Amino acid sequence: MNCDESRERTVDRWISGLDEAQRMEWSRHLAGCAECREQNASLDEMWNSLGAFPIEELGRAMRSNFLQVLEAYRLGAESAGRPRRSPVTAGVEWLSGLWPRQPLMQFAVAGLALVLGVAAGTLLTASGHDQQRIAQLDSEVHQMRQLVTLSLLQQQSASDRLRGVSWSVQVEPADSEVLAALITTLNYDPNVNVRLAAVDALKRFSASQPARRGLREAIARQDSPLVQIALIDWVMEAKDRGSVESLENLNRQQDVNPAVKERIERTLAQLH
Amino acid sequence: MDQIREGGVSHLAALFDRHHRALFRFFWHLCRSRPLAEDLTQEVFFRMLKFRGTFQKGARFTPWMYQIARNVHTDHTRKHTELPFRDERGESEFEPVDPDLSVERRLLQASDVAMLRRAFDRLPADRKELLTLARYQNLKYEEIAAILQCEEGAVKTRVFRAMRQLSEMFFQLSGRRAS
Repeated sequence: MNCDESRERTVDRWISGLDEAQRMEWSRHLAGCAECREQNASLDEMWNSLGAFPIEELGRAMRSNFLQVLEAYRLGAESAGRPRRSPVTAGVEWLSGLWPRQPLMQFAVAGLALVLGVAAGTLLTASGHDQQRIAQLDSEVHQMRQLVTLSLLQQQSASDRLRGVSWSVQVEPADSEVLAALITTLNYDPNVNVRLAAVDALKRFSASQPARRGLREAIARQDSPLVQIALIDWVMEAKDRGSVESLENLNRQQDVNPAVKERIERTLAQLH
Repeated sequence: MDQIREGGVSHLAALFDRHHRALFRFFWHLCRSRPLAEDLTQEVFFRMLKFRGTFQKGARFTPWMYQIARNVHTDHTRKHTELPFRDERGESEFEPVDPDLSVERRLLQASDVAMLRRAFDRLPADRKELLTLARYQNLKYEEIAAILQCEEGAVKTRVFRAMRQLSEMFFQLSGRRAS
C-alpha cells in the first residue's frame, strides 16, 4: 500500500468502514509511515469533532405549515377543473382559513375578539363620551392589526410572511401602508407561495385603485407561471380592461409557459 | 415518488415525513439559521412537486432529492449576498489553550469545537457542501457520487482534500501548528 491508498483508506473508514483485510493492510502501512500516521490521527480527530457541532431543533410548526400549503396547492389544482363552490361553503372555508394554527396567534385573535366584543357591547349603550372612547378603541385595534401585518410580512420565514398576508385581509378598510407592503411582497418575495397568497389578498382590495394598479403592474414582473395564472384569473374575474396591454405584452414574450399563453388568449378573447 | 409523478400530490406529505429532518440538517449546517433552513427544506418539497416530471421512473430518490437541495441552496446564495461570518462570542471569550496538551486533546475542548465551526464556515461553498453530505447525511459513496455526478474515487479524493483544508484553516485560526 502506498501513501495515496492510505489516504483513501482514511476516508473509507469514515464513510463506508473497512473490512478486516483492509484494516490489517492499512495498519501495516501506518506502522511504517510516520507522516501518514500523524496525518491520519489529526484528521481522524477532526472528523470526530465535526460530530460535536450542536444543531438547532426543528420548529414545531414546520410540518403543519407545510401541510397547510400543500393542502392549499392540492385544492387549487383540483378547483381548476371543478365547478364553483356555493358562496356559503366558500365563506365558511375562508373563515376557517383565517383561524391561525399557532396557539400564541390563536390567543392574540381571541384577545382581539374580546376587545371587539366589549367595544360592540358598549356601543349599544353608548353616550356621546363613550362613543368617542369607542372610536379611539377601534382605531387602536386597527393600528394593532396593521402593526402585526407589517411585522409578519418582514419576517425571514416564509411561513410567517404567509401569516402576514392572511392578517392583511383583516385590516379594513384597506390601509395604504398594508397595500404597499402587499404589493412589495407580490413583486419581490422570493417564495412563490407567499406571492400567490399576496395575489389573493390584493384581489380582496381590488376595489381600491392602488391595489388594482399593483396587480396590473405585477403581471409584467412575475416569472412564475403559477403567479402569472393567478393574476390572469383576477383580470378575467374583475374584467379589468386596464390589464389588456400588460397581458398582450406578456403573450408576445418567447419563453411564456404554454398554459399561461393559453389562459391569456382566453382572457383577451373575453375582454375584447 | 412514482405516485406523485402520476399526480398523487397528497403522497408528498409521506415523503416530507421521511426526509425533512435530513434536509433540515443539511441546510442548517450550510446556513446555520433555523428559519432559513426550514424555508429551504420546504422549498425542496415544492420543487419536487413542480419538477416531478423530471424524476425518472425507477431512479434512486435520495440523489435526486439532494440535487434539488443543492440547487435550492445555490439559488438562495446567488440571490442573497452572504454576510461575513460572525461568531456570537468575541475572540477573547475563547478559553486559553494549554500548550502542553496534545493536539488531539485540545480538540476536545469546547473552545476548539467553536474554532472548528469557524474554520468549517470559512471553507469554500462546494467543500462545505461536500463535507455536510459526507459527515452528516449518512450517505453511501455511490449516493454522494450520484449527487455530485462524479466517480466514487473522486469523492474519496475530494473529501480528503476538504478535510485537509479544514485542518489547515483550523490551525491557522487557532495560531497553532499540527503536531
